[in-house]
Amino acid sequence: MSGIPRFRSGLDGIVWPPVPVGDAATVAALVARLMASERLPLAEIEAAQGTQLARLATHHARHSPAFRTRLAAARLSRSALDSVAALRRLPAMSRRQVQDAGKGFGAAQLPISHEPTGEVTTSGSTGEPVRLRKTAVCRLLWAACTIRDHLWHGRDFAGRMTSIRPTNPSYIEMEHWGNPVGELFVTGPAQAMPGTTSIDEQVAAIDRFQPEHLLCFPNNLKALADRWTARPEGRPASIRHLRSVGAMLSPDLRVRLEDMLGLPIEDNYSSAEVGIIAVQCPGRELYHTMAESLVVEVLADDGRPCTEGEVGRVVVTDLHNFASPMLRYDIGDYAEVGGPCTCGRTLPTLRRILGRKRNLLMKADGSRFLPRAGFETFHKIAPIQQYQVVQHALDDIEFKLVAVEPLTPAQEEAFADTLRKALQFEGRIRVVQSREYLPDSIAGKYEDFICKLDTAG
Amino acid sequence: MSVPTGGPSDVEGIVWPPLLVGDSAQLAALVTGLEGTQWCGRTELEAAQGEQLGRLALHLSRHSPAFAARLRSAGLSAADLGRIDRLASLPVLRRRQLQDAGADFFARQVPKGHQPIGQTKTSGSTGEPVTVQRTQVCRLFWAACTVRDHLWQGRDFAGRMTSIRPTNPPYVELEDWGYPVATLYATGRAQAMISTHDIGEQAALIDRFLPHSVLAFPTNLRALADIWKARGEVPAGLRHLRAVGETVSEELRAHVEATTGLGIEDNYSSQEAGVIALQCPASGLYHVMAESLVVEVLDDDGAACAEGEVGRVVITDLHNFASPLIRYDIGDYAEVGGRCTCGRALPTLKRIRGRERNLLIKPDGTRHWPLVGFHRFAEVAPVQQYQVVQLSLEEIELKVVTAAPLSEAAAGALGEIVRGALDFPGRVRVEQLRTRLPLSRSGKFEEFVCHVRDAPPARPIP
Repeated sequence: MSGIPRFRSGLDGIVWPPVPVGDAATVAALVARLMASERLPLAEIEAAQGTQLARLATHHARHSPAFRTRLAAARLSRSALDSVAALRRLPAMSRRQVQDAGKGFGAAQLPISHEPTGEVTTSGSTGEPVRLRKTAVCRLLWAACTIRDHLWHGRDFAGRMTSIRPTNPSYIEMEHWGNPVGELFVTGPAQAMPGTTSIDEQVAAIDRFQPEHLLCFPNNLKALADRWTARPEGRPASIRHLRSVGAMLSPDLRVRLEDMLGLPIEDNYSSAEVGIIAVQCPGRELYHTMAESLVVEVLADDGRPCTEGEVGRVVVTDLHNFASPMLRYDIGDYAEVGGPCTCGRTLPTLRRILGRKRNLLMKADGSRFLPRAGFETFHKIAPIQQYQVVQHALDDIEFKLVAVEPLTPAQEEAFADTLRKALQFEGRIRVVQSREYLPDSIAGKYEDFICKLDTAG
Repeated sequence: MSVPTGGPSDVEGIVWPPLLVGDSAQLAALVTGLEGTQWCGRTELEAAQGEQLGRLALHLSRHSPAFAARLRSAGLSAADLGRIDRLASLPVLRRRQLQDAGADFFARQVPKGHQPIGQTKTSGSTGEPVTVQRTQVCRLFWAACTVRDHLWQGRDFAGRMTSIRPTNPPYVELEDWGYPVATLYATGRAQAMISTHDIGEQAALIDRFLPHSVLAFPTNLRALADIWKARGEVPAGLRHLRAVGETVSEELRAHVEATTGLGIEDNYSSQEAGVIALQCPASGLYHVMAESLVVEVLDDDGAACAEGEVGRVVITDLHNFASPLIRYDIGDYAEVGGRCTCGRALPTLKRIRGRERNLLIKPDGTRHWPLVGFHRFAEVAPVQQYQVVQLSLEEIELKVVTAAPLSEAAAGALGEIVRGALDFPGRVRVEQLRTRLPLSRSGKFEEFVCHVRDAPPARPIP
């Protein structure tokens, strides 16, 4: 059995079996291939990545001045990057290098079948915008990986879907889910609203629409979960799938949300620059990298590849972007390398996506780790709506709390103690109470831990 | 693995994962779709067929005058055909009716996505040539079903393939298997030759090429099998014998299997309707291509045959928007099969029996499937080839090709074997030949041909 639901037919008069046409046919064919390639032996996947990489690198060596310079600086020939092993000889490229390269970064020529291109600008958590071009082929890979995510999680396309994102322009109801799913499959209706919609309005709109699928940023989901758990009827019973996108989902928040809502959170790790990087394996904590589209490396501070259980910087190579040489691009995130997954898929894994360096606690010895605030025990002290931990110095942490009722000095001290133990932090912890929800940091993303020490990148 | 992880890519610079565009992407998507639909329940399958048939009937009722008239005379509307159980209300279309309709048969408009349109002419075993227009969509379904055949039989696309057909060029070697397989998969090399080559020469060319599979007409496969048996071995690496073009008789199937150790993988198709049914590797039954055709098997009263019964094959092409091949009597006989052990819900045929002219007619008017007793010929003489021709209700001619002349006694013994096997009350005359029997104009060879004219009316086949 192919395991792929019935496609939408694009041919006049043909409803069964459906025959997709145009890009939909290309994506449909690609999805089928991905469902097969995800179970290839890892050595075969890496060999295939190498074959594709060789084509990409040769193209950019010919057409991108910045890439030629990078190769020359690394003493690599134009045809040297013909395997994943060879790729490691090219030093990683920072956001700053992409910015500095300016117009010389992109390829001056592009095969016509990769047209049209579009420009992507990422704000970046450090306020360093990066501009690059992505192609029609990048879009096809994004579409196929998006559909793969749906298929893995067994989402019923006939169901109703609600999307809440900062980029949704205004409230809208549609007859289908939109691209890429609506292009390929017959779907149920969809509802979309901007992330700036007030939580009360969101709750009312969702109650009215009764979706089966809800997609939003993690902090938005947390705000919804707070409202739902505070009312007698709880969350809408129609919801079957909770999809988290757009920002790092901290382990604390995941546990809290799953506990509050009684549903697993289905997470997806993506970026504007390279599309979908990894998709959470259904029913498991590991994230599978999209190895057909990207080479994803996790590197230690000395540049060596991290082994299972180690945390390092995420460095990606987009195998199909012939407009911008996104080879060994340091995306600015940290992740923990995972081991083989029990699902049988052979795509490499990440155990946790830790987010930006600025979301990691810095210890006195300069090492960093993903902080856990001990959120699961907060309710024993007092009901809390939101929190944020800001590290200002190696020995100074600000602990912002949005409580339902004002906290007593004893409660403040208890929260500080809980955090101190969870972080194993020996410095000062200052509790600051707030009555209002804390603002999003960037691009609609809320960060529950921010380190303000040397956080470039 | 049904879906390739490598293979050809249509986008410059992209080799992995391969990206297909246009027709190749459609084909890949359809093959994937068929991988799912073959496991649908029978009810779901028939509901989907009805949905598609409704669309087709609506189009044809607007654009084909002959089809509109057929519907009218049956008191049906296009919407009535939206349910498969209503299809039987439409009388069967005979070849003669198709010929008589002339240009009015074809749709005067065909949706753009179904173009271009090609013409197929079939000579027809009864000498009634028929012209049918087939669309790009028909071609797509033919391609998808052809790929399905390979996938079912587990043929290794990396292997070499030999094709022997009357329509092939004299001899050619190719880099790949060609359309449709090479559109989706990286394949090994292919060798193609015309079937009129001497069998010894064919065998020598195959020995040189060492293919993984050989595709040929069944009688050609039998001739090759005999050569391989005589020398004591089949070519190294040969794994698949694929039959096309002619009806595979039970005798021929058993003989080839006993001789080579390889089963015949058969494919029942026609010029008018493409691939009709594929043999299942699990059971040997033929699965009907229910996503592309409604295949009925009807008795002489027009009622649907039950499992084990033999009747006329009547097909409805669900996707031909140019020619209304709806309940079209294709001129073949088949035996209805039961549920297959493979788990696929696609209906089955147990045996494809061929044309009416391949039936023996007894003096009482009953038609019989001829079993001529070939397996016993070797007890009498080494027969290289044979053909049985029924000349009249009282007389049969047995043509035998042998290397050396047969004695009168041996010839008589062969005749007696045939007479006994057929349970024929008349006379069997034996004609001896030293050279191979000629093929028909279409390159086909029939082991049994009935030339009886003015026979009593047909009666149900035992």
